[in-house]
Amino acid sequence: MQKLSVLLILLFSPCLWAKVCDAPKTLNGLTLIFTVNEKYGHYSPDPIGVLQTSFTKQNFTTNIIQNNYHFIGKYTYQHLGSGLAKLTARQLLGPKVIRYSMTLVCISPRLGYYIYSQIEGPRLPNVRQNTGQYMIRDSVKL
Amino acid sequence: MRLLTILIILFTGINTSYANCQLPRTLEGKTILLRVDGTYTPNNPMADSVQELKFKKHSYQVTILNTGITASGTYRYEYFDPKLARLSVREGKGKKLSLYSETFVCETNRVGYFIFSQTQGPIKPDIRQNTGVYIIE
Repeated sequence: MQKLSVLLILLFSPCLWAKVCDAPKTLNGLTLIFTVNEKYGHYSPDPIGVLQTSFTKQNFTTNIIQNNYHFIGKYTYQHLGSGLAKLTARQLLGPKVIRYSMTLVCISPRLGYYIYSQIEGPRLPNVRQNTGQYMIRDSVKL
Repeated sequence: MRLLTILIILFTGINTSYANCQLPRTLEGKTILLRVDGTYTPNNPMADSVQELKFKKHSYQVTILNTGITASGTYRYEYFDPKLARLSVREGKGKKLSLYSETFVCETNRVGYFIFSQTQGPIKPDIRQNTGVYIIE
């Protein structure tokens, strides 16, 4: 029984599941660069390459750097601990709405991968996913 | 009119079922296939591989289907919400110990994307990430 308890404590003890970084505690005031992994495909119609998003408390502006398109939207952000966070966004594309989440997993305080997961959008397939890297652009102390 | 009805059913149906996708509450008894994205680089040594993970209550076995190599370890599964969960593992022992997590975001009840994030492992560099698609069998 004692051996089992020790095993269980070890198994669920957080120090055993190594952590070397954390996702930002808040996005308010930060600018993030998102690179998109995919080449053009049915589920990745916008393989733009590089996006930049600036966050205020509840709003964000996304800028497609190479053509200077801007999108605005509202977001909520959950810091889930141990290097994991989830951004839920409602982005406006003219009169149309895109709803998606971005799950962030850090590898350093500035860098990590994300999964983009869209559930509503003006173009089909409006339910789709892709991945890429995020990096924090600001030189602010994290 | 009939076409319109079909289209409405088709797209609202797909939209609803996908938008409401759910990850399993537990991995016990489940088998998951992982297909690693990308091309080979030192930071992505498992690119293009397909891995099979079979879960018991606290332990699991992984087989790299391309080579038949297997490894096993203990795991912790955190279910954050229906669309987001994370598997953290301790795989192997001693110098071959790997510590990594797989974060899952569902697209349907069977498939979605994962982020692999390693902090320690026998194949260097220790600290690396990649992504891919998972399928729950």
